[in-house]
Amino acid sequence: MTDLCTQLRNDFILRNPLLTASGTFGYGDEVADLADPEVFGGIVTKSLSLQPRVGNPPPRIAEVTAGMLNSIGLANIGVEQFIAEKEEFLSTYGGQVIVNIAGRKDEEYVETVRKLEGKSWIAAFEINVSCPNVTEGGIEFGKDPLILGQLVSKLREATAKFLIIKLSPNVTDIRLLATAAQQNGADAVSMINTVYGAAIDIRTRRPKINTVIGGFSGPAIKPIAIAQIIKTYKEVDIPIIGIGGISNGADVVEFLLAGAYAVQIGTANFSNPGVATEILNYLNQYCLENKISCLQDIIGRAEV
Amino acid sequence: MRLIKETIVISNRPVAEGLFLLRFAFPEISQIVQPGQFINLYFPGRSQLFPRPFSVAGVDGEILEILYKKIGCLTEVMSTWAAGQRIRVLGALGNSFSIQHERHVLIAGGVGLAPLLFLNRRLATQSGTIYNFMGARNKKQLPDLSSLAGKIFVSTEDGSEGFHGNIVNYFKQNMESVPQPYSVYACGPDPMLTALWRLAGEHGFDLQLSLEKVMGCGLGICQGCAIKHAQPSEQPLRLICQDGPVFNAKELDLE
Repeated sequence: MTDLCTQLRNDFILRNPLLTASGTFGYGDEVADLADPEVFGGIVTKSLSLQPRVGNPPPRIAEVTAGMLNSIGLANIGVEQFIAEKEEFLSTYGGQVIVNIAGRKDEEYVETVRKLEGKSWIAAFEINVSCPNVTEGGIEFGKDPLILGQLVSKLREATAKFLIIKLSPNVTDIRLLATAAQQNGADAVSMINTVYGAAIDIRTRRPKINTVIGGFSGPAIKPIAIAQIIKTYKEVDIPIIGIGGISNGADVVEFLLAGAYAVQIGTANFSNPGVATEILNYLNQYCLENKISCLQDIIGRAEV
Repeated sequence: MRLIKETIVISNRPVAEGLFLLRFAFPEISQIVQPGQFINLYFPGRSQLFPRPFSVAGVDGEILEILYKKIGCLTEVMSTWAAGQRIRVLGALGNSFSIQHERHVLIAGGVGLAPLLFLNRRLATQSGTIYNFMGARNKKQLPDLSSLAGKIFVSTEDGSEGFHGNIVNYFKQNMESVPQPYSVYACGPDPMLTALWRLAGEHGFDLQLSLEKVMGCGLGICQGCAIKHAQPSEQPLRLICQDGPVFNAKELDLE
């Protein structure tokens, strides 16, 4: 039997390296009838903010070649309703629960974390400092290593849980941000969030999404993610969680070889709701064929 | 109930220019699916990622039918499917029409006929009078409507069959002859639905619209298919896939 476990901190172990990417699996229970959440090593929830958010006006998504654009704008139910409605399901979940948090100010992030810190069913926080679709509280935290460092440091004081900082590729050098996260106490970085993207309807000459520029995801961005992970893996000591266009088991192996300790499945949850099961079957087969007893052994083993 | 399933095509044939009727086995939902609900078709391994939603156009025992228009590369692929083709389907999704009165007016524009075909067959088994208004660009794009229950009113934009003009104007001309109260069930292009929405506002008839927008998942997860709600303070946006695709005109702000 192959060991698919991956350990990111002595007290944070995933039964397999597959996580849901924020915003592509709701809060875990909404599509449980079609895609069993227990197949994943953990669930990353949709971004939560202190107050509920309606999100951006339509049109909010567009399909592009091997990818999608979105400008949902962090529509979410807010932290109070999240606890009231989702605690029952998530507290019985067998994998790790990772709550993704968005905010407009340092204090807002910290207060949201404080409200959730006492919940023993939450194993980790993933901090969204890289949403390209909101006017404030998005990517400005994720662009400047000093601003990011201050936020991470405050969050570190507020939580003993596993702390993940989700980084944007829309920066000059992602390694500076990953280093700032590490130096200020983050336990891991997840990367990459969506890439800036836009598309125009040539008939109406209007942008295909309301915010004009939105977040580009899907298989088309996978090489961008792999490149950023290869660079960052050499630079930081904390684990990297890989995200970006994963659609099958071979993609997961590629991310692990590049240096990811775990991965998140995003857009593929839309195009193929049963994708995680297919990926796990592939990983077991891959390990068997390549005589790998512990999948974790291949992390960062690309010859680059 | 909703279920994702690999199934096979029973038949796939053109019913008018660019319009096809696809039939496939889906016994798990064929007996419970309601008019207005839709299914997702998946296209693995292609560069178009989103599943495509299609209204259920009818059921026949264990078979589900959809009516589609060849309009882009995926419907082009679909038009080549033959009996025995394996396909991946998820259904049934969304809500359904809510049958209100004894008189039913069904208004379809083009391939918007799909959910109304199913509704017509369901209404035919109940009491009441059915008025079918069907609009198409031209005669060639009109499928055979002779199996529909109730009265049939046809319009074409070029006048090659029936009333010369759009179907909303044809309905306007005839609405006085339909005794109140009645419900209007409609599906078609956005301008048609907007025109009907305004008309319902002026005349106060019950109007239920089946809407379509680009959907990323069809399951309420991607939150992509949002539309404006009529009472912004209450809940400013609704999701077509989850709260619809059928909406009462009073819930919507189509301006």
